[in-house]
Amino acid sequence: MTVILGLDQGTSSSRAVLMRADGTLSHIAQRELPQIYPQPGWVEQDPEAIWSSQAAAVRAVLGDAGLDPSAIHCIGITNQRETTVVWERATGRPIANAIVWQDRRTADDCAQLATTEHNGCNVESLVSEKTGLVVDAYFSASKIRWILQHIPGARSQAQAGQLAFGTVDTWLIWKLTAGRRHITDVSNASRTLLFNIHTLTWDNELLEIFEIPRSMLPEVVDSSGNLAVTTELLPNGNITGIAGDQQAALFGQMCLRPGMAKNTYGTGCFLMLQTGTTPIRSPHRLLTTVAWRIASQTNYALEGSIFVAGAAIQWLRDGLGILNSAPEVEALAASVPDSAGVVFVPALTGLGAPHWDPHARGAIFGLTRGATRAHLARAALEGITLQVADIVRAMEANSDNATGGLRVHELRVDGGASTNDLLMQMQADVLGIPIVRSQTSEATVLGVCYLAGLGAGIWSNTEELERQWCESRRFDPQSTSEERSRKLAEWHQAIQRARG
Amino acid sequence: MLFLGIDVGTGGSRAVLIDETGKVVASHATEHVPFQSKFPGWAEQDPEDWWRASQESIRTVLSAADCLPADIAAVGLTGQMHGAVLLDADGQVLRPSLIWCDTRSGPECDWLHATLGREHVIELTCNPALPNFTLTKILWVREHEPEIFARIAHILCPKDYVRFRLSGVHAMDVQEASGTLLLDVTHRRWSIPMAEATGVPIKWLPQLFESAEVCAKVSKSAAAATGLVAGTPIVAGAGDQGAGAVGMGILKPGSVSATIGTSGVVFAATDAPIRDPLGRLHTFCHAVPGRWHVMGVTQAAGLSLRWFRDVISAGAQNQPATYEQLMTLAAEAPAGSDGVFWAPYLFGERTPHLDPDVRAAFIGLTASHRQPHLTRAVLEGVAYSLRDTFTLFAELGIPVRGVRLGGGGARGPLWRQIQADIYGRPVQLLVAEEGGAYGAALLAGVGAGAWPDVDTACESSICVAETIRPDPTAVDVYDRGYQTYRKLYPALASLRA
Repeated sequence: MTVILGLDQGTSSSRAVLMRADGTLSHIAQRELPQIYPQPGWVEQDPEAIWSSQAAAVRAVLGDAGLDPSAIHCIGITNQRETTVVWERATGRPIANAIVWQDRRTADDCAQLATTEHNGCNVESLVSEKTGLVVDAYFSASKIRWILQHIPGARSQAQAGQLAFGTVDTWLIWKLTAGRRHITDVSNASRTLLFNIHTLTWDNELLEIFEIPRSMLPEVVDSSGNLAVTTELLPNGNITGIAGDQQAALFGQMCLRPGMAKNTYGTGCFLMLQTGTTPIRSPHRLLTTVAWRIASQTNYALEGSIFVAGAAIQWLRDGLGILNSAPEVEALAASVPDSAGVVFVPALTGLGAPHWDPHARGAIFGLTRGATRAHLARAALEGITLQVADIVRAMEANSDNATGGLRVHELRVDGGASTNDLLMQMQADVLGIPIVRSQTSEATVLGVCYLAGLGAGIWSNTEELERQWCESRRFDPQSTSEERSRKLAEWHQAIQRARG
Repeated sequence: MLFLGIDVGTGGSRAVLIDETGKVVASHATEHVPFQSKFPGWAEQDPEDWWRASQESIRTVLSAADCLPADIAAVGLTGQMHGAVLLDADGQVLRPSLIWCDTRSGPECDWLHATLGREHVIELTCNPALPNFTLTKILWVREHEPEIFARIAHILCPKDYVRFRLSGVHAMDVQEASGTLLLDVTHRRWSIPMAEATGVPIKWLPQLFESAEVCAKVSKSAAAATGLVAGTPIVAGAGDQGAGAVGMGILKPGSVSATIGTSGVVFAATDAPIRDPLGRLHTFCHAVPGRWHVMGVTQAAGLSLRWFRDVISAGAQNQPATYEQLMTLAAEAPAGSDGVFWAPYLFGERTPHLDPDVRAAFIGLTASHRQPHLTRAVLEGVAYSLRDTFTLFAELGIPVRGVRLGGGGARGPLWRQIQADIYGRPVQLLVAEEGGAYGAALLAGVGAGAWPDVDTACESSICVAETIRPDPTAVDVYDRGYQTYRKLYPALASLRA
């Protein structure tokens, strides 16, 4: 029996899964991972805890399946992106806690840096041109810089070539290979703000801007192929797939051709649109990122995220207090045919793409004496779907300009809230395209296992994988284009009024 | 000597019996049949039901009080304003009354403004045409039920119909008449130009009186029905706003009340008929000769909190919090509710926006806001909307020297303090607030000669229990908050579904 081991190192937990060669997941084990909040806006994790929780999950899933490590055919690793670990090459000892992607401590540094010039060029446009990203605390570069500035002796150690940087994939592989391999894949590299997505190499100018010695950086490898051999935990295991979690999900949803898109409904939403082999720049400040590189062929994607999706439902429960539990929202919202004019703009932490307004605040408009909990619940679900619609439209608008008509024909969905049938139907209605739910909501681990199996030769090409991929349910739009335009116009009026 | 006040409200009719010191001897309320609403915006009541409830309240009060009916020196009336009671020549009710909250007559308001000009309507009556006002209801009947219009011989307002049943007399006080849109408010007489322009014969309108004037006597048949003594004098009384102001001692220029009931009213006594050229305030004759009053109305004041209690605080268990629990919750949030605002337009808005279609909203929400913030924001939003009327007063040069609180908004310490802080001035709480029926009883006392005038009646019977001073820190927060609040209406008004 051929078994693929998938490692999914996420922000709140480490998971390990086993996949059979027919693409079905047989076992899943999970270990929680605590976050550390040293002060407001700071979010850290203990790198040793990241490793030990991941190792524990691997041992647990093998134990559950009664498998010896030698039965594992190949290994795929997917991970929370951008989270930054710096350690001593000699000892493997981290010199600081990992700075998690959510950490905002370098926000002011980034804002300041963005306005400076480097070699006569504005840093913001230089960075954006080379990386497809924006100068923001979210990405790894400013986090590395902070560690070098604030940990005593770090800067001189780094200059002496004694320190290594890695995102979480790199850190786990270092651990799994007892320090023999210091690598990252292109999808993770493209989230550091140091990686030129056109040349697919670390960029000297960017390294200068962020004052980071090149010697710290890992070797950049493909997302699929023979990438590393493990010695720890899994003796002689083949790591054949690596990808950041959102890119892995895009692959897991088999969005392989330009115009195919996926959306993950979690606390927030992550949308990714496959744009093919050339990077497309966004006028709406959507992120351009590397999707993966397989057999030296690179695919790119556009990425847009929404800060508050499932979090809006949590707020109905914890803030407004009109739900006992989040899943209740579906039945409650379904008990009314529409929101009776109530509009909920869930900008509870500002607005992301394509509005980019950190000062926007949430609002509930259109209340009358007759407004009930059910109308509020329905308005909250609508607010989620309308934010998604804004990103899809921004992606299309921008792809039009560059390639002459990249249309999203259907949206493949995963994540917790994608099991909400009403939400998916509303999403189809507001977008006017089918929403397709895959058979497993575990698109991320599915994707990295696919990458690993492909890299190990279990499957010879992506067509085989596509044939395996099944949809479980399709939601066709039941709205007219007039209804959609009216809804969007009303929404944009409301959005304007929620802005700072 | 005792004085009886009767308040013909919307939900019920209440009788209050007081003595010469202003002390309440007995009171009783009898519920009405809920108003009928055949279509959205319609609201009708059967005048016979008011009379039934009034009789029952009077009889109950008489039997509860340890007194002889002959001890009652006079009766005063008050009640819901604006309702149109249409009678034929025999005094029979022609159709159910279109009451104050019936808003079907929007087109008639438009017709009046188009025909006479909005400014001219304000010149003649001191007020613009609103669907609440009696005349617009009569015009609706003329348009839609001409066979009934043809049989009209008398027009009364709700409490005046109860007077008619008590005495057989058609009479109305000038304060009540101000809400008909047929009164020349400046000169305290029926407006002949208004009546002529709208085809309402002056002879349909009852004789006018000042509020404390005796205008009728209890008839023999009414005496039999109520237990009162035939011949007991009846004073003209006033509409609920006028009598309520008497009951709170809001009589002299500079004296202001802020009352949060279902709706919210900021009411100021003036010594001249000050009118807003834009019609954002109501300008009425007061229940005291030679005085007027202005008032601004927030449609959903207490209603905002009731909606929040029933819909939001009830939560998934559908168990609404008590008002006390809501106040405890609200007290957990700081002044300004950490940036959450409530725009209280659940029912459109009257003052200062005159916009029946604008809708309510919560604004400024973040992930960390919880029910205490939202609850407090509702209390603050309602007070901000009342502050809008204070702003108008300042604009029109209407003096504000003392503010007394009334209604549910006066009952808890938190909302009282929020009002003091948002209005930015001390506010007074009265020892007891007995509502319009109490004011009507005081007017009866003046009519009976127990007091020389209404001012004296109020001075000798109304006491301030507590003065609540604004907290300077909170005043700063709220002054800034009010600047934000002022931006909400324009944003919401342009947001049309």
